Amino acid sequence: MITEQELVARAKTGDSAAFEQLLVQNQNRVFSLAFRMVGDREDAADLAQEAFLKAWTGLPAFQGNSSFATWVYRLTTNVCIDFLRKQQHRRSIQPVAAPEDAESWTEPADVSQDPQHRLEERERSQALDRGLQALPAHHRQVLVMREMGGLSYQEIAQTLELDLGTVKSRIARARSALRKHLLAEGNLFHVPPSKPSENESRR
Amino acid sequence: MRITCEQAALLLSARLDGEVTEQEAAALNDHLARCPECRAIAAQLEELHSAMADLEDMSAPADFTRCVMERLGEQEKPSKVVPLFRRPQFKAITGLAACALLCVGLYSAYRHPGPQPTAVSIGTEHPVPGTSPRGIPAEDPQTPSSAAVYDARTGAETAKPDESYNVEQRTEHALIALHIPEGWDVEPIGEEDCTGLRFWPKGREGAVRLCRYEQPIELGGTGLVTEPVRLPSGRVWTVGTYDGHTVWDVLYPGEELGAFLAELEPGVADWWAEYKGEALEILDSAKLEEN
Repeated sequence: MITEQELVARAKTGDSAAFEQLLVQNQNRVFSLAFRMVGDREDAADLAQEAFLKAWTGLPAFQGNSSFATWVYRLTTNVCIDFLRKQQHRRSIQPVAAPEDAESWTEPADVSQDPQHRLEERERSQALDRGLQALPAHHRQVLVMREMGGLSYQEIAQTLELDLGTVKSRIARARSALRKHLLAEGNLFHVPPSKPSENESRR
Repeated sequence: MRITCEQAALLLSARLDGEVTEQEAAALNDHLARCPECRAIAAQLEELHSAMADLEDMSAPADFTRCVMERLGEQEKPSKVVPLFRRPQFKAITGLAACALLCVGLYSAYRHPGPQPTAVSIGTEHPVPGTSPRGIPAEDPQTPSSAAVYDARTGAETAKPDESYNVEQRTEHALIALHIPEGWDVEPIGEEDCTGLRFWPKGREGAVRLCRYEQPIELGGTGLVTEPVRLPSGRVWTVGTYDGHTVWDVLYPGEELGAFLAELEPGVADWWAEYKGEALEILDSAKLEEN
């Protein structure tokens, strides 16, 4: 079983078959991040491709301080951010991205888990994705950058040229909207709301 | 310090990210101790937070691996398009004849050893008969070829009436339309990688070429400096100059290079000072659409 490190070492020498292995290992995760950040499958595919091409050309400089997976994930965040900034300059952010139907999901990797639990998790993941896509783009972006891109509030504020307070409140609003979305979809939380009228009593 | 439920929601979110001060954390805990609703919300937000961390991967499109590996292989092939007048072949040709039209004809011949344009006029008044985007000449010079729409009022050989008019070049990929004022001539460009229109002040050498390129383009060449320019309508284009030239070399709409590029042929330097304003008005009138 060839380790990631070994593949990276080979890819650095120009071994494109080794790079292809790295590509296959990471493409779903990279594509998922891109899609959740920009909300469009085609754009996400283009951006994911760009990230891998940057990884290929940037390999000579890759030191191995982090794993390849982390590194290409961060590259993906960066290409998505560049893309989103250009969009911001061109037109005002579209308020709602249409929810995607029939997204393709990977097969569960861990088949030893209780099937019922697996099913619940998948349902919740799918509901979460629908909720994400229903968010206004400028809310979704900051939340995805935080939760999936791993950027700090400060980093997000700097990258998008926003006030720190704006980042904080957009993330909070995104979470609040998501929470309500999941509740509305049918109690997908293991922790139930405190009372039946909970949804109405909150503003 | 007592906080509202609304403030608590903000702090709960910030706390998930480790972005609360000690004071804020204390105020939050104080509120939570007294507010069962917010406690429930806190629990749900925690769950949401870990659910996001566990979000399942979606599948990349089926051909994703193949596409990336293909593009990897293509890295050797440049996608750069060096503007026409920087290309070494063109420089060799300009020495042969002063007439821009003849040069265009020869350039086409150089690039496409296949069918030649039937009539290459040496002279300035007569445009090359309308050619299709593939460089194949129309059968009848008076009628536009099926792939190009040329202003029916003017035909190809007759001198244009002395008033302004609209002209458009339409291919299966794109539409370029311009408003041509009195005193200017225009003709379609029919080369393989660039389709579009070229226009020049009547009687002058050198034209402005407005092209739509089929492949993705980047500007190649040395010493490129770009700056924004505002056209009469207020629209912003970007101007590029190479090697400290005083006359511009290229222009494109907006701030970022897309598929449309305007290039100034070498002869333009002679009349640019006099006609720049009108040339910019013509570019300003451009309707540029990709199919």
